[in-house]
Amino acid sequence: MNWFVKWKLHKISTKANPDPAFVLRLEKELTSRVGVSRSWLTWGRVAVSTACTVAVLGSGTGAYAYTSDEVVPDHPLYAMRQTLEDVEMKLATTEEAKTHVEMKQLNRRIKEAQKLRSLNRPLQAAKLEQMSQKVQALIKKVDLNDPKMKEEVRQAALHIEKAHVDLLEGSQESLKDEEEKKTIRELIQHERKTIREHLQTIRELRREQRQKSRE
Amino acid sequence: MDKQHFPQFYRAHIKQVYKFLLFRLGGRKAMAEDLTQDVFIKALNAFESYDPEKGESAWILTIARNHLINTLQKEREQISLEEIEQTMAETTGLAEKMAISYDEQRVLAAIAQLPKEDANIVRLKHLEGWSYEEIAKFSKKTAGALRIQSHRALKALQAILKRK
Repeated sequence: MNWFVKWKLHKISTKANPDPAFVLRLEKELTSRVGVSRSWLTWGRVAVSTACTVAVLGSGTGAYAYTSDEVVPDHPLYAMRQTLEDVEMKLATTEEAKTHVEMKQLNRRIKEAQKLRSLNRPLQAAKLEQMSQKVQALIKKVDLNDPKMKEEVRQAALHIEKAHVDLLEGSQESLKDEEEKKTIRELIQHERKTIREHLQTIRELRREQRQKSRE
Repeated sequence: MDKQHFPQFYRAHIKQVYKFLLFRLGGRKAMAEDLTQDVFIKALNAFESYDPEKGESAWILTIARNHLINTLQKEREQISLEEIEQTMAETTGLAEKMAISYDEQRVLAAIAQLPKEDANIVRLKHLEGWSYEEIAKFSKKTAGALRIQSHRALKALQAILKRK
């Protein structure tokens, strides 16, 4: 009978299901665009999935998925990493903690992109541009001109920006489209200029702090 | 349609759209997620002008199909949906990326050996999860005719698997 074939098809279909964290994340984005508040059932699902992923975080597989450099997009454990990162962001309650988590995750995205490049699977120009926008948004948030901003946060943000420029420079060779190459070149120029300005700001702030401490 | 109904529309179709894209992208989950996101954003932007008489599934499937072709044409020019569906026959990539067993791989390879319409009904109904009524709206056949075709296609599939 057809039951064997139907069973195999059902198994394949189940394996092809989207990751629940992705489904929830996309739903959240779409509902925020529509301006609809989520039902209690959806909030309930979010609470249960958060609790489950916190439990996974304590497990060995969870720790590997979260920390290993081998886990890149398309790796079987990548979905677990994304879920753990969502939980990490939700657990960050203060603005400072959220910025710290954002910096950590952006740094990780850059490392993943570098790993993909070494595996001959470079990111497309559109993805690199999206990453640039996130880096720029982070730099604005960190506000490197603010004297009260902690030195290590400023340095970390600058490190992310430099790593991103390296990534963009390395990605140029793999792009075939001239328009995409042009976009990447413009991004590199813009980011190099931003880095120079930030380094200048940091030097001036340090000079002011040294003068204040002498006084 | 009012955009307030969009979340309900999303929940009804997210799995089917994702699977439709995943199988045609050779199991590339990250890319399937990206394209799924793009498809639903496009659908949201056009939701107010969408006519419910035309059928939700047919509408979202058309958006997904067109977006898939446009995206893959950036990698390879002049690719058609038929050529994309041909990649579903190349099961090695799918096996690695989706961790499917040897038996399951044989089933996917056997589907590719069916006549085109039979392969299509098996994929849409049994792999991607569309109902016969939904498939009827975009295939110009009745749900009853599709049920019979699906039953015959599964018998043919079983015969192919027994042969090997």
